Parts: sequence; C-alpha cells; structure tokens
Amino acid sequence: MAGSPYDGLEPRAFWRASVAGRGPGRLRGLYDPRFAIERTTRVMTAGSCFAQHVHRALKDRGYSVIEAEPAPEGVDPAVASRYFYGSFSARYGNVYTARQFRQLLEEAAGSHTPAHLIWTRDGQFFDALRPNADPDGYGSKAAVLAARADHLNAVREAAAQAQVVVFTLGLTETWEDRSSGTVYPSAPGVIADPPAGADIGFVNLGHDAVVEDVRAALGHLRALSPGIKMLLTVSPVPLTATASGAHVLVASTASKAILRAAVATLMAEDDGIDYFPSYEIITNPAARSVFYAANLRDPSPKGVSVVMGQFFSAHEGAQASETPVAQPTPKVQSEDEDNAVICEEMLNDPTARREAQ
Amino acid sequence: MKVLVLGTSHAATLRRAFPAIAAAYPGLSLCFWGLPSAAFAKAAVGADGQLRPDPEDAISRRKAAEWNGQDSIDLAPFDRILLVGLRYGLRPILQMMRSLQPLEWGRRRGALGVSKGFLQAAIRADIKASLRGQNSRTPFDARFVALPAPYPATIVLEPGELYQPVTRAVAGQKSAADLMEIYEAELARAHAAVGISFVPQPRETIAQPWLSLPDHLEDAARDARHMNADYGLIAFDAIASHCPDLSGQRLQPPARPGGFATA
Repeated sequence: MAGSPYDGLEPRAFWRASVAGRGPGRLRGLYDPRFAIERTTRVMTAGSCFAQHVHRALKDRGYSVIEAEPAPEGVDPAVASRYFYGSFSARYGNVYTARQFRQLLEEAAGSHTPAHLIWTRDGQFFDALRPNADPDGYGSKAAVLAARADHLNAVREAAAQAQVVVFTLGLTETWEDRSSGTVYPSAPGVIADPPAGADIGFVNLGHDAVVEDVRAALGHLRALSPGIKMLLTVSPVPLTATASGAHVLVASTASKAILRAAVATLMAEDDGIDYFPSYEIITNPAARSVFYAANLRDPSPKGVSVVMGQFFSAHEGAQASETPVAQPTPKVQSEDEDNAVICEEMLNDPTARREAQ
Repeated sequence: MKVLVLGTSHAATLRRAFPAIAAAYPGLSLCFWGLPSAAFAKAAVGADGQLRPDPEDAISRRKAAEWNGQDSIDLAPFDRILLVGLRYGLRPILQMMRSLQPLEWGRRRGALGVSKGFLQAAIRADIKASLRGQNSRTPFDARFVALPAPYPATIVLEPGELYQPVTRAVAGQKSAADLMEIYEAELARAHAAVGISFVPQPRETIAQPWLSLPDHLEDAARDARHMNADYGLIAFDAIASHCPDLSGQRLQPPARPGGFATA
C-alpha cells in the first residue's frame, strides 16, 4: 500500500504528539516568522487590551518599540499607564477592532473626520474615540480637540517611523454612528454619552469587513512607511459582554473565529502580513485554561510570559522555555489584581462598571 | 494637655515661638522634637513606641541629641501631635507642573499638553506615596494634625544663591493660583484619607501663589524657607483654628484681623 500524505510529516503536524502529549506552555513550532523582528526593528503596537502586554514585553526585552506619546518624565508609572502613556505607540487607548484602527489612520491622514467626537459625562468632555485614555475627561471641548490634534500628530509620527506594526485584533462587535459610519470603542452610556440626536447603534463586523479594514489600514501605513510589515495577533481575551443577543460564550467564539479566519485570508494574499498565535497559545486544550486568571478572561502573568517566550524564541533563535519572561508590569490603580492592563471593555458589564465607580 | 510639635527643621519655627505660644495657650504643655528633613525622613517609631533616627546614621543620631536633648521620643503620652514641615515631594511636583500643561487652560510653550485630570492624578500619586511613607514611620492616629513646610519666600525669584528657577517658572504661570489650589486640595484629600487633619500655610503669610512673604524669614540673607517666631505663632494659631481642643485653650483670640489665622 502506498504511503499516505501524512507519512513523514514533522511531529508538529500531529495533534497527539504536538498538543495532547505536551503540557501547558510546552507547545513548540507554533510560529515560523515570515519576517524578522530584531531589537533594532522599529515596532509600532496597537490593538485590544492584550496588545498592552505585547508592548510592555517588547519594550522590557529591549526591542525598539516606538512611543510617540511616552510617559512624561517624573510621573508615577502607574498613573502614566492608567492614562495610556507608554502603553502603545501612541495614546489611542485600546483599539479593539480593525475598523477602529483603519478609521484612526484615515483620520490621521486627513481623509476621515469622525462624527460626534466629543461625548460628555458629569459636565466633563470625552474624546469618544479613546474615552478611557483620560478617564475623567477634559474640562472643555477645546481641550479635547487640542489633545486630539496632538494625538493625531503622534500617530503620524509613530506610523512614519515604523518598520513593523504589531496589531492585536480584539473584537468584531462595535458601536457605529449610522449616518457617518464612525465607530466608537465604547458603547453610549458606558463611559460617556453621545450628543443628543446621535444615532449610534450596534454593529458586528463580519469576515469580509475585517479583511477590508485591515487591508485599508495597512494601505495607510504603507503610504507613511513604505515596506512596513504587519504582524497580526488575535486577542485570547473573551468578550466581557455581547450586545449580539447570543450567549456571551457563543458570541465570543464567533468573534474570535471571524478574526482568525480574516487573518488567514490576509496572510494568503499578502506576504507582508504575518500571524503570531497568541490566541492559540493561551486557549489550546493542553493549556487547560491555566493561562487565564481566576475570572477566566484575563491572561495570567504566566500566560503572557509563555506567549512572549514563544515570540522571543522564534525571533531570537533561542529555545522557548518554561521560565517566565520578565514581566515588570507596572501596578495599575485598579484594585483588581487580575487586571494588569487597562481594559475598558470590561465596563460593558454593568456589575464591573459599578465596582469601578 | 500635652502637645508635641514634631517634624523637620521647620518645627524649629514653632520652637522659636514657644514663649509667645506658651503665653497665649497657658494650659498647654508643649514639647518639641525635630530633625533635618533628610534625617526626619528616615526616623521611625520602633517596636518600643519610641521615635528615633535611623540607628545606622550617626549624623542623624547626633543631630537628634543636639536638637532635642534626647535621641528618641515616646509619642504615647501626647494628646496632640503637630506634624510640621513636610514637603510632600513638592520639588518633583513643581517640575511636573512646569513640564505639563492642562489643555483646559490653553497651551504653554515648552510644556506637554495634558488633561487637568492627568496632572491631578500625577500630583495625587506623589503626595500619596510621600504620606504613605511618613505613615509607615510615624503611624498616624487622630491626634495628628499636619502643617506643611512654608513655601519659599519671594526672594527666590531674584538672581543669586537663593534663586529657585523651578519655583519661579511655576509661580510665574498664569495658572499658578489654580495649580496651588489643586496641590493643596490633593494634600487635604490625602490627609483625610489617612484620618488626620491638614492645615495649609496661613494665607496671610503668602505673597503670591507658591511664594511666602519675606517678612517672616529668620535669616533672609541665607535662607528663603525657614521662618521666624512671628510666623511660628501664626502657624500655631492656624493649627489651633482646626482643632477646637487647642483653640479653646487660647486666653484670647489672636489680635490679627479675623482672629485665628485660617486658610
């Protein structure tokens, strides 16, 4: 009998050998980088709250992570982090969707003017496109606009410098102004309220929309930095809440599946796009959820360490080890030690919002 | 009623005022214990309840003996402890105020535009850290009331050895008064959070935001921060105005306009 196409494949092709027979964190060969990321490579980071872990780990490891809006000198690191200084390459806060990232880059390029930019709460004014970056808001609309102008300058600066952008896809669910298509990272009423008359509703982006948004975002980045590469990841952090009507587990699975499928489509068509499987490293059955914190949502420090260990071993040629990668995570103001990053999406849960107040 | 004036070199200002304070408050038994600020920042209450300087620091031990006649003090017998002369990390806070500008107040050349909330949060964190450290060394209770070190006098604006460029930069901002209001509000908030009273510098001793009147300087030729006995009595009255058990001990209200000096 002739041999099967599976005969002779390397062990990583087989579940029993490469997953079931391995312990948590011991999976190997998950990531073959399409392009090198060295310590001298200028890296721009953006994405959902999980991307904050990526940013910190790269920075702590000595990689050339761009920070166009770094923590101001002399400011307590926990305070700076809470206000998203030095959390990403610019202070965009968490960019949960590809649509949000595309929109930001279009705004920075001058080809998009967001609708209903300023939302309000308790007499304070919020930048609706990053409402948690200044959690108490601003005292005037003019201050919001001035801060946004500074921020867009920083986004252009970061993008123009970047050789690689690491973007973590977080969600497909978002909130959209019906008339303009502007999307917001936070639903009305969670952090602040839109102006009266704004027609903002729920939208759940599908595979084709995500693919198109990433293509467009990368196009804008290439306009600023020709030759830039994009490393995509999918956040292993499940949805806190869903507005889809489905059970949150089902909705979360759908969301992650769409994002993961979109990545596969994008990789197939563009050699400048790669994927790093942080999602798989955290969620795989061999991990048996040990890489999640007690809330079964936030990755544990150990989980983040194993993820970044795989990344560094792939790019530095070293063997991935169980030894945790140093994670000098600054303490944040939250009393919840499970939350080592700032993740306003958790405020979609009314219980969590009450606890945060 | 036994009252301890405890603190840095600024506690000496109240010691200088001792005759006047004793005359105005004859029912009080006053005691003073202080150290230079760097030494005071390392002095701590031990398991025996005694506050003493860092035992590893010979200079601090010597200063404690020289200044106080005894190198340690038991805090237990006192009905009131006036914690005097802390600066709460004011120097780095002023540097932040120089380099950051709340956009609510418009832009300022050379300063990073931030939200007012961010600047407040940064100030709050520094004050909280400073107070946390002090609380760990001299565990606070309801007997404590705090009066900060006075702001430097206006002579620091002038060229010379006493010149303070950072203070000048902040005091010269259009928003200097707003910044000082934020700073003092955060001080009051931080002290309230640890259960003790905070008494800001008496307004009548302030020339302009962040700067004291030079009238009360002990030695204006050499020192822009340490005040004389007149200031000591004003400061004690300010503390007393926040503490009915102290103000009730005064023979008659202060002769100054408005009676007790208040913030």
